[in-house]
Amino acid sequence: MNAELALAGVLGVSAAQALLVLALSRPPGLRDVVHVLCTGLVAVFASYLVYAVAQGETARIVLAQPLPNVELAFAIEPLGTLAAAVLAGLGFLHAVHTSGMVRATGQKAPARLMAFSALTTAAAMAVMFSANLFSFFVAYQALALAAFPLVAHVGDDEARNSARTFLAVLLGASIALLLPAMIWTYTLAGALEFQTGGVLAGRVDQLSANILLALFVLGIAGAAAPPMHRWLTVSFTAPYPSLVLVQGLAVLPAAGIGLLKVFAYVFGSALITAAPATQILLAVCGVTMCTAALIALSKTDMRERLAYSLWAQSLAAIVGGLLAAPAGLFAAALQIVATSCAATTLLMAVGTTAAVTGRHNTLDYPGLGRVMPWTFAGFAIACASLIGMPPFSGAWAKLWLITASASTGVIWAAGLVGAAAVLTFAHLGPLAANAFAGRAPTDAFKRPDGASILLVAPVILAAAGTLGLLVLADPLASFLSPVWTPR
Amino acid sequence: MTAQAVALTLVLGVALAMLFAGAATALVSANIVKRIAGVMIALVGAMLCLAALGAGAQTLVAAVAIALAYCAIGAALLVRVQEAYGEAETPEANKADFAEEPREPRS
Amino acid sequence: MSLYLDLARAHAPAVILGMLLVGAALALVTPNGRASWTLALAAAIAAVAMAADLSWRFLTSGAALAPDALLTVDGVSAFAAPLIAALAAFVIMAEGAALRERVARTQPYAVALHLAGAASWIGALFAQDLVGLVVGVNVGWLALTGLVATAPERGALNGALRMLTAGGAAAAFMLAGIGLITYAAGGGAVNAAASAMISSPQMATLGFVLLLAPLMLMAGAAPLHAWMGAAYGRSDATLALTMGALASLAVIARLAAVAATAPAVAEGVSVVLVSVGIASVLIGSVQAIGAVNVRRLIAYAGAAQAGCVLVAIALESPAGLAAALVQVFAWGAGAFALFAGIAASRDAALTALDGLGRRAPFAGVAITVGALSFMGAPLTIGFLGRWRLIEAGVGAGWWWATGAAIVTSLAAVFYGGRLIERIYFRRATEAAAFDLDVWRWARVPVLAAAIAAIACGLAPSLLLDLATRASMLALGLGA
Repeated sequence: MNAELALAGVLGVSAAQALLVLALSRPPGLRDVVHVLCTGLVAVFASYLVYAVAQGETARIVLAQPLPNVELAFAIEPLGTLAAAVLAGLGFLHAVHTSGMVRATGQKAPARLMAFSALTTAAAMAVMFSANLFSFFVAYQALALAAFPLVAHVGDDEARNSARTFLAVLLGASIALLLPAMIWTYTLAGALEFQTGGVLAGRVDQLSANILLALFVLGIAGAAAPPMHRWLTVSFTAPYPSLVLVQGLAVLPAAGIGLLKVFAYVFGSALITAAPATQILLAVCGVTMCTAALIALSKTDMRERLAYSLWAQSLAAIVGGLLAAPAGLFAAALQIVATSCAATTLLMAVGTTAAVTGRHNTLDYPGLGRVMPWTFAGFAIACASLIGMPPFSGAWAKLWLITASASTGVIWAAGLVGAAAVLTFAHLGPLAANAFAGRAPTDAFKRPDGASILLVAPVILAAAGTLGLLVLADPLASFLSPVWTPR
Repeated sequence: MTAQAVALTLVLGVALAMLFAGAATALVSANIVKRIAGVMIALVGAMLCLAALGAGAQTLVAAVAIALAYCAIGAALLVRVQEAYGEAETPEANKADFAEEPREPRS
Repeated sequence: MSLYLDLARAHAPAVILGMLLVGAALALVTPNGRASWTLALAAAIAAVAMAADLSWRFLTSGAALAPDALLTVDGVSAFAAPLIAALAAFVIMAEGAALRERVARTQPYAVALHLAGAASWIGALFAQDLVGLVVGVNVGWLALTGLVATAPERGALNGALRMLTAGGAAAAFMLAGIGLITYAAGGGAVNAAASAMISSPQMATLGFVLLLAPLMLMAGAAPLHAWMGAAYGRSDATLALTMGALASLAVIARLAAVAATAPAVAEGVSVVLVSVGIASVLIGSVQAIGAVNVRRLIAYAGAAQAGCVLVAIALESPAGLAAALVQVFAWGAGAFALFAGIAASRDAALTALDGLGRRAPFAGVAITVGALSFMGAPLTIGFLGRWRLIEAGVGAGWWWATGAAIVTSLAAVFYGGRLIERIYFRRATEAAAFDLDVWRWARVPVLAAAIAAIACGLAPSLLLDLATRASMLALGLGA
């Protein structure tokens, strides 16, 4: 296999999958097999790309040239490729879980749900492999449009309102802030290509760098920097399979990676020029991170609590990126990947719980671990990882974040990261502990026959992934090093 | 200022006054007959303006033709509106139209 | 044969007009409705072919007309004439079923009015002198008024009346404008202002403003668009009205290009165009967001688009004019996809679109593509137009032009998103009737427009090239 073929495969298979799932929507078995096989294929292609990058191969696909000197192009580089491989692997597990969920909950229009899931995945992959700012912009808008039907899937007034907010914030910010930032970059640098060291490095004055940084951070609203986070906190009403994609697998992580790509490849060393904007954004994101973790504590709907919790996690990644140091970028990349693993596990576990027991209130969770030990084992591991407890992958990310903050002289950021971890422990720790320590519930479940293997296995395997990332931290650091040091 | 220049200024002033007054009537009057009359006054003002500025015969003929066309179509429309709404007042027609408008969707 | 062809090519503008007018006359006297429609369509297609040929030859190799030709051609008219002719052909094709549904008595008139209207607007683009231009514009406007008036709904008469009074007042101002320009520039030829010494700059500037303001009214630029709500909302002539708006903008571009080459008037004209353009972007966007009638929604969205075009024209630079032409093209393709898609549901209420994606997938796709293009979504022609506007604006130091483009796009996200949400995320209400028959005829041109909106967004080099050449020629800079 060559790398270009694999890249085309990653982008093309997901898009084709959407059509296939719709065309083969009956019988349901065939639909599910197609869905799972296609996501598996994407995962294989994405893993191959990691190998190719490690071997120093390059690959680039140009689809069109919509403007003079600007191509719609996709290429492999370490940051995007790594995230794409992890997310594609988790996507495979999620596909299995989705086929279990649509059966267990009798979800309406399952083929449509799967088709838009596939399109969302395709768009997220396109974001991660985008070769320049224009391609990123296109893919990011496509991501918002593809995920919109997932949020609106239930079709009632509440879902429609959430979906409207979702689209308005994501598209609105991208047009009002990201587009001008892109055009400004183009006029300053004469190019939009992502390049190591930063396309703006040496070409931007301090004022422009400050304004541009603010435009990019707020314009990429998918990364949920305040006040552009509304889409995340309202989208919790979506069905579980959509929720996993929006918060765990596609929108939040892809936008986070996109933002890191902007930090690394557009700003590069120019990020240092962008003070005081970096400091102000650091402070805002850091404080909001703690606030979000605190708000999560007050939420009793499990989905809402997780939305706030994941918002805090995503802000930690932005904090890492804004430190303007290689260690910070690495911490941010690790944070996104680890969060995505943990979030997917957690949301799938919560989904399984809701499908089997019909419960999604935190007050109903005590004791459930005794009846659903496997699911809640995954739940507990994911919680521990989000909190940053060693030896789970989240711990590495937090450790690097604190180290990077301290080494760049921003001690208070390290303090905020620590505080957020404590608050995360407060809103997730007792929940996981009580699930096992509490008395097992005696009332009847929605599905007395328990969860099917399709609902449990993905949770366990994703949790195993959370553990696996731990041993990979060192190889990952060397894999990602070309992001900040040109070969 | 020569007598000719004074005359030119005077005629131009009258022409522009007719133009603006006619246009205002055409746009804001409630009665349709008055509206069409306003159009005619404005067009006559324009012709006067053209003549005062020394426009050629070709231009004046074109202006007359345009005025006639507006007059003819205006008269035809007047009749049709009268037939359809039973009166030649725009507020009444607007009210009737508004009643037939779709309402704001619930959400 | 080839001799006749060469002769026709040497007099191409007159031949195009002749084709359309003869087609109109034949359509009028043909007793059978279908035959009349077929004749009209054939005439329109022939005119499109002729206009495209002229445009290609003029823009790529600078081919000249015969010295004694009745009409003239410049960059803007060469670019816009085929577009207007194609829209006319599309309109006739798309509204075939709608036309047949009209009262049998008015049907041939409607077809003839479509053709005569197109001929007049194209005539205004090709006119040698200002009088010809004004006559063409007004005959075109009256044809549109007639079309609106013959629509089946009663409310259309009210719209036609507003068009007539607005047009009448506009005609008066335009005539006065001609008088002033002719007096100040010493000649009535369209390009006289550019070539001659202007004796009285204020008078000439006032003349241009009196000439341009009515054209902006006809293009539907806010706040001069009071006629628009009733005319668009109540008639089925929405596509023809869009064609008229595009033609008005092309005429404005043509006049502004002339004004740009005359330093005495350039600045004044630019200020007026910018003021109306910005107002139009803001007012049109707000009105489109609040509209509940789909046709009116798109009409107001058009006002916002027209605002962007006016801002681009006001730059009075080759890049600005090229941006304006690209946007006119983008608007044409987008509006056509939208309107013709919406023609599939007979009712103009927003709720009539509920569940259209399921009932008429092609119409749903067409509306979606149109809405995306209006939003300026990447990979559509709309994006290209916005980008060009911003690029031209930044090039001239007009940073705020970026704001106009962004406001238009942001507003389009709201109203376009509303359309798309209704089409795909709602169930059809029982009352919403769907008209398959209309859609059968509309399918070909609508899909063509939707494909053009995407294809030109993906591979825009030809369009950009032609627009750039057209603007250079129009500004007298050579290609």
